[in-house]
Amino acid sequence: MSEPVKKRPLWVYWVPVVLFVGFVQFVAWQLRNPAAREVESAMIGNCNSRARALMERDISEISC
Amino acid sequence: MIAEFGLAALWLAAALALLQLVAGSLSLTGKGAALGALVRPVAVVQGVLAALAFAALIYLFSVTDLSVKLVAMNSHSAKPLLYKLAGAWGNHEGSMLLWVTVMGLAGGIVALVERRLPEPTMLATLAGQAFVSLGFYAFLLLSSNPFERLSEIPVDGNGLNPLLQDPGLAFHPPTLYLGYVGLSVAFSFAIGALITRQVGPAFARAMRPWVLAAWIFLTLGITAGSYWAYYELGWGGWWFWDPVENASLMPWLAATALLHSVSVLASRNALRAWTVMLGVVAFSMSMVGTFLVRSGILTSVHAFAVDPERGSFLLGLLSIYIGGALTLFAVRASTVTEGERFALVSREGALVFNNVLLSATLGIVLIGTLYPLFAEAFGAKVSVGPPYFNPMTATFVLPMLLVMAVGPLLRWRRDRFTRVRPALAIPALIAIGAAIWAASQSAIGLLPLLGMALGLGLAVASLLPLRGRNLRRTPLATWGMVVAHFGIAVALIGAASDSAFTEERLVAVNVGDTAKVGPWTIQIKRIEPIAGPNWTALGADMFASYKGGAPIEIKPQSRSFWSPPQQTSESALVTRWNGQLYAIMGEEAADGRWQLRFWWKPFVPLIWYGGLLVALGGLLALVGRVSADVRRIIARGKIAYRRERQGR
Repeated sequence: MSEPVKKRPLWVYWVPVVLFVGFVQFVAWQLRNPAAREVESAMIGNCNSRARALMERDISEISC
Repeated sequence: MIAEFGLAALWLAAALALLQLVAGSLSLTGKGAALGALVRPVAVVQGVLAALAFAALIYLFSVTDLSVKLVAMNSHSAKPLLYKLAGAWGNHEGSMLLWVTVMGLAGGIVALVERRLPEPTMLATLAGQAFVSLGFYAFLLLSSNPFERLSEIPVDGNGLNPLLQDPGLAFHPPTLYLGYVGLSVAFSFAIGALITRQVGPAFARAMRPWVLAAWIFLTLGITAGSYWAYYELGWGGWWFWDPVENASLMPWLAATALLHSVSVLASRNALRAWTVMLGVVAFSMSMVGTFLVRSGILTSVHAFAVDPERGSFLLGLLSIYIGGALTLFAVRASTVTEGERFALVSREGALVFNNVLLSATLGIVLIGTLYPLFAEAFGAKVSVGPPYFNPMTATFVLPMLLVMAVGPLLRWRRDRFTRVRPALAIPALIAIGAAIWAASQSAIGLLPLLGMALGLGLAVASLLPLRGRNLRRTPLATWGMVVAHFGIAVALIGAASDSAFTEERLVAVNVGDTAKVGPWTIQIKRIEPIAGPNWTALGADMFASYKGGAPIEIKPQSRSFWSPPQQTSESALVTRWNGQLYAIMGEEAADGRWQLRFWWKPFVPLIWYGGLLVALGGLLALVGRVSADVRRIIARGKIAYRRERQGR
């Protein structure tokens, strides 16, 4: 049995649209201002600094 | 000639997508009802043409046709055949062609097999699919032509990024793309249902196999990508919340929520507007992720197409499709009722709770991925990583595990906790016992402790829906749910164990020395040069012994590729039932010592076994649903045939 149409405030349905428009405007602005838009990947080389330190300080073993 | 053939097929496919859109739209208005008959065959031919264009590109890469710019930029004659083929989708243009191919083929299959929905809804769905495809065809043909010829043919190509020259990476992108684009079908179904206001169980049953298939491929793609990153990148981690990882996780989270809500709609005719919304959000997340990684707005190890111009094009598509779909939803959603009611304590209630938690997790990941952009707008340069993502996502994921344990035991519509409480006593005791044991291990953190306890409890609880059943008669869909939930528990135990008990050792040693990590003793026998098809390497020959047992030979390498010039670490892995030894080789120091890194990672393979189990669960559910649909169609056909004969 289906219930009748709910009387939810109509503006609620427009919230995702407003958020999305804000998102698009923001990233469009970011695209037009390309300076310093690089976020360094933390995916690779995260122990390299420790490896360098190991060789420079002439210690033979580090527990990371 | 093959390149021109591919380009022609692509233009023709784009023209057919336009025809499919116009014919579908006009037939819906009633002005061109006869045009409706064109839509299904045109969708099929469009898919075939897109597939032919992609096959042409594969051929060009297989023969290393250096007169084609894309091949010259991304391939090399010395590459093994597998990586020549993988080069076809290991770049921006080729991967976008794969995208439209999968989208075209999916639309063709929908047009061929889907007969359950009212014809206007089908026409609206296929027109929607054509509309989305058209944008991507335009993107390819106007700004990313994969078949562009070079005026001067180079002696050899630039090669493929060495990190991508790995069997795992040959299959990881197409698998993910099948997932992303599979969600485009769910998106088109949602648009079609909104346009014709036909949101009900038939819509959900038509959409469900596509959501399931997309979800399976996403699960496999994420699992394969995680394992590739683990063994190929040489940092010993399996997930680092890199933007591209988040770009694949967000659609998966939305698809998981959609999968559950579509089940409620199909079975109980409830959550109509919510299911439609999730259908829009799931594909939107695929597009947002693709945009973030490819536009150059965020870069990561995967960002192979840093190009603001293309970014603007993608942003335009994003605005049209997602903005249009959300606007359509805002206009139509008030006329879509939420359907049948249910009590808070019920199967539906648990699924809604699960949906809310999945959506919240999705929001957390989206905010964390975008936050560096917002921070930069205010002059700060930040990188958001595990310290934010781990506790924030755990806040929502841990309660979700409790719901996963309880929800499948509840009845539809209305139930009582007191009815299922006795069944949950054993998993609860196991979880408490595991927590006490884990807490007794001095160095364990709170999140790994909770993860391990809840993982073990969930592993047992996920099997409870099978108790008291005849296992041979249990529907495949139920088996699928059990296996998928069990897989989540297995993956969680692996992740918690890795986080709690991993031991790492970084050493600088001479040949002949030994190093220790966890229960392993490793002796370095020799360092030797090795030559591969398109690389040279220095390889360490080592013998690893577990608790003084028989030595096992391991050979990590430090490889140097010459085209393009790049150095990679090839890890050496020893897998036991209780964990994995991981070894990588670093550089040589001035004094002749060698840098080596070792990890002992107890139970870490469970992370990927769990991922595979989750995908297997999805596959069982998909086979169960599709075979039930086929049986239903055959039965209806038989009834119709009998009636026809009786009528005569």
